[in-house]
Amino acid sequence: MSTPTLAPPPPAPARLPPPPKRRPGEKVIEAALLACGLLSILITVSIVVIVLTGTAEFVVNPAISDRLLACAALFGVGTTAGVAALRRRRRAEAGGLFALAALAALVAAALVRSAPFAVNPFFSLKAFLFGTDDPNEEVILQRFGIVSYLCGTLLVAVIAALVALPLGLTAAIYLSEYAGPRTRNVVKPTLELLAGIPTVVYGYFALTTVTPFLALFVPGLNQPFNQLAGGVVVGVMILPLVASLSEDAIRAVPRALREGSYALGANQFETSVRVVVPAALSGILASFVLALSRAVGETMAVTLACGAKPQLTLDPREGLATMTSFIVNKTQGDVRYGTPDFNSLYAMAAVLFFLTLSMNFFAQWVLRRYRQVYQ
Amino acid sequence: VSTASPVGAAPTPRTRLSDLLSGAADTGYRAFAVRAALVLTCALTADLLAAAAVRWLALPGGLDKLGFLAVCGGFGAAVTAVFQKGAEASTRLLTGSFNAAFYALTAVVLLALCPGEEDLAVGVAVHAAALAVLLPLAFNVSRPLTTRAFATFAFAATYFGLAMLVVFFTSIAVKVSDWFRAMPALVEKENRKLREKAENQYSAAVWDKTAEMLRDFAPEVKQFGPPRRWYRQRSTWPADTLKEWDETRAGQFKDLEIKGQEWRLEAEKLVRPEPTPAHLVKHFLTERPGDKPAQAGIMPALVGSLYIGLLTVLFALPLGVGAAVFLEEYQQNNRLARFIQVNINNLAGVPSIIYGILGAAVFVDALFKRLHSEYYWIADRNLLAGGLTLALLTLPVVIVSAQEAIRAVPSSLRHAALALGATRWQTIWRVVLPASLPGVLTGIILAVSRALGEAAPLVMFGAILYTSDPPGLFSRFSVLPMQIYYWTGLAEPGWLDNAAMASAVLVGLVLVLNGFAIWYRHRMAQKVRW
Repeated sequence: MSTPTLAPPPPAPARLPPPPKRRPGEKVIEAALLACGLLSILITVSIVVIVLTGTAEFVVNPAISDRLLACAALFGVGTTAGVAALRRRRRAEAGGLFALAALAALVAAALVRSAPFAVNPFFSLKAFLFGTDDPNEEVILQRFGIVSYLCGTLLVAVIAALVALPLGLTAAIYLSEYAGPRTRNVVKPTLELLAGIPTVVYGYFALTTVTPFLALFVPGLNQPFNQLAGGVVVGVMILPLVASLSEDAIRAVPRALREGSYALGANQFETSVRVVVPAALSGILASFVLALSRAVGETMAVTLACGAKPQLTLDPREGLATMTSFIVNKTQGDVRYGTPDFNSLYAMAAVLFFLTLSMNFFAQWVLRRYRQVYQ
Repeated sequence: VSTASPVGAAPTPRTRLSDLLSGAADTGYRAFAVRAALVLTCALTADLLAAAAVRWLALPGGLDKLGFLAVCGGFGAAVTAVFQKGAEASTRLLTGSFNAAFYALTAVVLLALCPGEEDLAVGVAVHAAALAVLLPLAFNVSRPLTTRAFATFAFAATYFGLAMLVVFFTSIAVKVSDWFRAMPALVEKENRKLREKAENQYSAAVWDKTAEMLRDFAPEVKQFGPPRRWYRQRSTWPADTLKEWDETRAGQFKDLEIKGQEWRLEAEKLVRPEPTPAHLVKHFLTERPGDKPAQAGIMPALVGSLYIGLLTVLFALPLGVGAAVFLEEYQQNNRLARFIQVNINNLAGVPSIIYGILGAAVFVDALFKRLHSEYYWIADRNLLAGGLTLALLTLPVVIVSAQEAIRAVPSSLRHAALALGATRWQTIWRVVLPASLPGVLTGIILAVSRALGEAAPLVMFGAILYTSDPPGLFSRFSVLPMQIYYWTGLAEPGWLDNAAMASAVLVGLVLVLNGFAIWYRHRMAQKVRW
């Protein structure tokens, strides 16, 4: 199942001749269809409002508001900059500024989350930036920090990337350059089946099969929860995404480029790696970023495979809670609804949302910026 | 990783440093030596810089590796950027990111292996040396060997995915066969327990009555202590007492025996017949999730999942197709339409758990919680809210696939319809949509199969793990992925086997849908030729 977000923007359709007549119902239909389209904006706006409101409640509860105002201002400036750049139709610049705005929002959300920490009389910038305190235990002390959760997510994403990116890219090259059409027609849909398997089943797979298997080779592997199994399983999950999207991008490279390369004496490998891949680089990189954003947002497999213990380490043999599993565990546990402890999940969701959003923006920006248009 | 200038570039008369480093000039030992020396220097510098930075910041354990990652990665990227000034931007981006990743990851892996202070120097040296050997080697292998090696690796990479699929299915199959093997014994045990319970109940009742009769029969029994002791010493009773007792006793236990028979029959009703595989599966599919692995079934979860799939189609299909029609047929390519398009693309990448937060806030807190207090029969976290949430989650997928399908309809069809005097809406409704139906259907099937497999958004709804009734539209509910999550979280062998069985059901369901969609798309792609 390929995510269709990479589909190239439609070629401008041939201008249709104006319809001969308009029946009275047409206006209503058009309005209804527009409403369907606007729904997507409504969804985004409500997500942003909800996560930010929850975050605000989380912050206001320990009675702090000037920091929140500062964050909102920061977010506003970033967004305005992005919008202003969009209006000037400088696409590259707009993309960059939008990424900046998203980054500003990310920082804002992180600030918001750590704001109670910042009013601590012993506040220091270093402690804030690298604050490692776990919200679960430190809520009474009014100290928060998401670095340990970020570490968990980062570790899973890096391991998944190590599994999925090289394998996915080479599989894409193999499918489009080396394999025959029959092999491709069988192998590609079969690979896509991997992406269709429910993530909770992947979590079960990691817990009961991958971890015991890895424990045979990796000394000191923490059982049953460890980041390694979670990362490997997430990597397998996003492998078809990378392979499929990269294959689409590689196949879009025109034949003439390959034939030119062969004519100059390059062999199949050189043609693939030095001509075709650079020509399709925008699509490949975008598929990488999309796959990583999927890995960052992956929830159930990671929750089952990596456990719920927040700790600060980059050792993949340990089991670290990730940002998503933090949210799951907050809702599953017996945390009272509406307490700062509960509302911290909104702050985490805000960070997660803006993180994946900026990654998606980055992917689209790469796609636009480095796209090579062939005849 | 190739960092060469495009194939066919004229050979440069003088070998420049950048060519040596990037591998554009790839002959001779001199180039190799120079490259090795350069990489060694760069790696050493990077490591020392990173070590200095980390030491200066005095980061806590774990974060020091993060610092190494950042500094080494950045340095690797910078070095690549500097030495490949002439190359294409895309090539620089690719090699830069690969170099950065390679630098940083080897640094972290090596440092993870040498945690101590004095080991740090060793780690840095090993890292630099490894880089110095590995990076130039990557450019210096002979041409046919590289080609062959790459072809093999690419082949292996492709079939690695398929192998993982096979491993996955095998592992599920093994667990399911475990379930089939373990379950009969568990069922027998349960049966035995049920029968024993009935027997115990009967004998306890018999004894109660006997004790009561004993008390009436011989008040002096108290001097022997509890009746049980006296009764046990029946052999020492005088003969006439014993005879009298038997007479008293005769006929008194008739109704109790009838009752015991009833108990046994009741137990027999609960006792499951001989656990053949077919019976086990039937039981698993039609029973409620009880509190014992042997008795548990997935009926409410299965029904909930089917409902969710249905609701997803119901809500996502009209909205998604409507949005797609608007974007493809009505949009004037204006700012609004472009913004909607970008927004949809981004929504497709939002993590599913965020949709759960959205659903919990909008449908549960804002809507059904209020209705719940007014109409008691509407639960706050009900099936409808779950279905709506998953419809929102799958909406972008539906929209984009419907857009692609509509885009694939050639404009000649539209022109022909318009030329015949149809209005725009008539054209869309009678020509474009029927022509794009296969693509739209494929998209919705994939969306449903995704909705069936999603548990993360529904986690936000909380506490829906224990339902035992098949859900109605406004009642609390459970779905298969949640059931699997719950059972897996219990982490006991019996429950894990049950989770495997439920996984098999879920995977079967999803794969049938996915397979159908893929087959249908393939068939239509062959059939339709515009």
